[in-house]
Amino acid sequence: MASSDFWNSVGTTQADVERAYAFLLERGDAAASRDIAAHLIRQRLLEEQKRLEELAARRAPLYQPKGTYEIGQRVIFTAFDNREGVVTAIRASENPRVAPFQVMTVQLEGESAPREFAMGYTAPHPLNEDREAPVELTLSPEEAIAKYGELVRTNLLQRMNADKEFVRLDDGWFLRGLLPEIHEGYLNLAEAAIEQSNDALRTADLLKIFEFPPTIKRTAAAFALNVALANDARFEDVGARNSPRWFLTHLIPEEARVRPKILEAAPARAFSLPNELELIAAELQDEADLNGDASQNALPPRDEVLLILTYPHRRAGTLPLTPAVRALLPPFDHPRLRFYLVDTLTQEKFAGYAVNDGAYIAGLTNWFNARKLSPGAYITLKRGSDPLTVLIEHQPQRERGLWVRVARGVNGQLVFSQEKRPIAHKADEEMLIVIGDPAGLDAAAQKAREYASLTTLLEEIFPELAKLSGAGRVHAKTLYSAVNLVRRAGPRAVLHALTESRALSSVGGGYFVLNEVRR
Amino acid sequence: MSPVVRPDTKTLFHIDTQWFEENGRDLRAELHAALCEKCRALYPTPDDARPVDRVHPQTGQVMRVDALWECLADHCGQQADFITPTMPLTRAIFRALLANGNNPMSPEALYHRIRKSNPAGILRVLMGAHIEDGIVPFQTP
Repeated sequence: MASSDFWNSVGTTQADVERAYAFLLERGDAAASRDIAAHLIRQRLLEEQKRLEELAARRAPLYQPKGTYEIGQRVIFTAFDNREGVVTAIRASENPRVAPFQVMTVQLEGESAPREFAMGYTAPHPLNEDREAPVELTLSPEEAIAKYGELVRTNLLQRMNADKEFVRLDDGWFLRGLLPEIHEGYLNLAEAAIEQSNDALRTADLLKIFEFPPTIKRTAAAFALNVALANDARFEDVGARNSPRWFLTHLIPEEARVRPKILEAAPARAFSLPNELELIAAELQDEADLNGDASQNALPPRDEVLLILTYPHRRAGTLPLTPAVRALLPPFDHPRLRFYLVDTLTQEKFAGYAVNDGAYIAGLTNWFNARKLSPGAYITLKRGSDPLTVLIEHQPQRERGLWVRVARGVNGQLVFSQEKRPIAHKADEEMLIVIGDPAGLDAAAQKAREYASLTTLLEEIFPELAKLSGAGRVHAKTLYSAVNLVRRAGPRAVLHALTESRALSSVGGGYFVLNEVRR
Repeated sequence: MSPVVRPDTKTLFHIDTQWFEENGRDLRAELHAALCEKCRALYPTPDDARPVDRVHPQTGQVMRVDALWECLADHCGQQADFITPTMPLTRAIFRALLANGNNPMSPEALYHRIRKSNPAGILRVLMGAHIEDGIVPFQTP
């Protein structure tokens, strides 16, 4: 068997499933699939080496069609489970189409009828290849695990997934028959404990509440409890990867369970932008550009991320979960990660939820409201002292009346005016827009759906913003902020739509003007 | 009573040699007609082809097989012009089975070999109202 065939087959057979079963049985505890695969590789390597040593120790030669043998000689047939046979007769071949060879009659051990085999057959044949021990079998177990571990793990997962003897939770595997029983009473106790603490509890914390017999291994009990909790709709694992923390589904806020409609954007496409706009897009961190995939690596990971609040997030009480923001949190694979946000100014601590589907952080409504933040406000997130804490701060300033853009919806149209309004926080001047009338904006958003393209919508909004500027110029960031009042769109989509417009022209510095024809 | 399984693109098909007898067709003559020139020179008529020794491609075991089948499976069927793009679909399917020594093949495997139509199209042809060239679903004995 070729080396590649050997490794491709490891993990695919029933015998390998039984080896995995025996491994877990002996261990008496759950194991990760990569650990089971590593065990299997070690065992198969050992068995294969032993098999080859046994073959080498036998006196009879291995059968090759090109070889010649004598009557009475014993020969090993690798294609027949390494059984030995005795040559009982030899005759000439009969086939005018191929070069003459000889045919030997062989009585294989354990068979009643003899078989015939070719000998002196020099045509290409897999058994005629020189059979040294496959090179890969000379690998050390650790080298074999590094080289073939993933292949074997994939093979094994297919088999174990289809086998009811195994129980899986995330990447942990255990035997159904060894799972300690977790009855309904335990789950009710767990529910009460979580409800009482109003916090997510680790599996180990929950186990402390139960009185398990001391004979039960704690790790096996933890696995069984995790499986039982995962299969009960009352509970949800809101912990980081490989670190389950259980919370009650009904205590998770609505906006963390279901993505708020106001955050839903059309799928992002890949656009190339002029350098100037590319820099602006990079500054505006927005999950709407990610197509829901915030798992990309943020390079280099930072300890601090500056965000500029947009209207959809202000309304939903959320923030974008961009790769840079995600890098402040531990990795998580479940739908939600529950963590703590701590306001650096007030030390107020409250729960936040990083949500995979839609790539956003929920739980900020009260914090936004208490600080009267408007779209455009600066918000900084910083790495906390422990992995499940993120520090949050805005940039407060003495409340004073400032001339700012105010957005309203009038007869379904988005209109802007310049008004003096009290502002108590620092903001990006180009993106700061105070909401004059949320209900009117909802009606304008309804109307904005009639515009087929983002470019057309931008061209409709532009004159309203341009009238507030003496020079008739509007910054790209202002347009991005304004468009998001009525339609969710990522910065790249907005900036690309600007470059597509025939009515708008760039005048440098990120500013755009309406072309003469349209004025 | 065994359950009736609806054939799909993974169902195995083979040439039913008995079908030729029952339908008055001479299978050996058709096998002979499919030989390449070199093999036809060895066996000028179907009657010239007697059982020969065939070496199993994996085990080296020798089996006595009909010379026509042996030629088609081990020589003619391996030639590039044995199945051509202009050949009718039913003929190409028949030849693919000849080249495979009449070992059963699924529509997916047949498509892989002949590169004509698609597995579902091949299945439709094989499950049509009339049996073509004795090709029927293979039933494990």
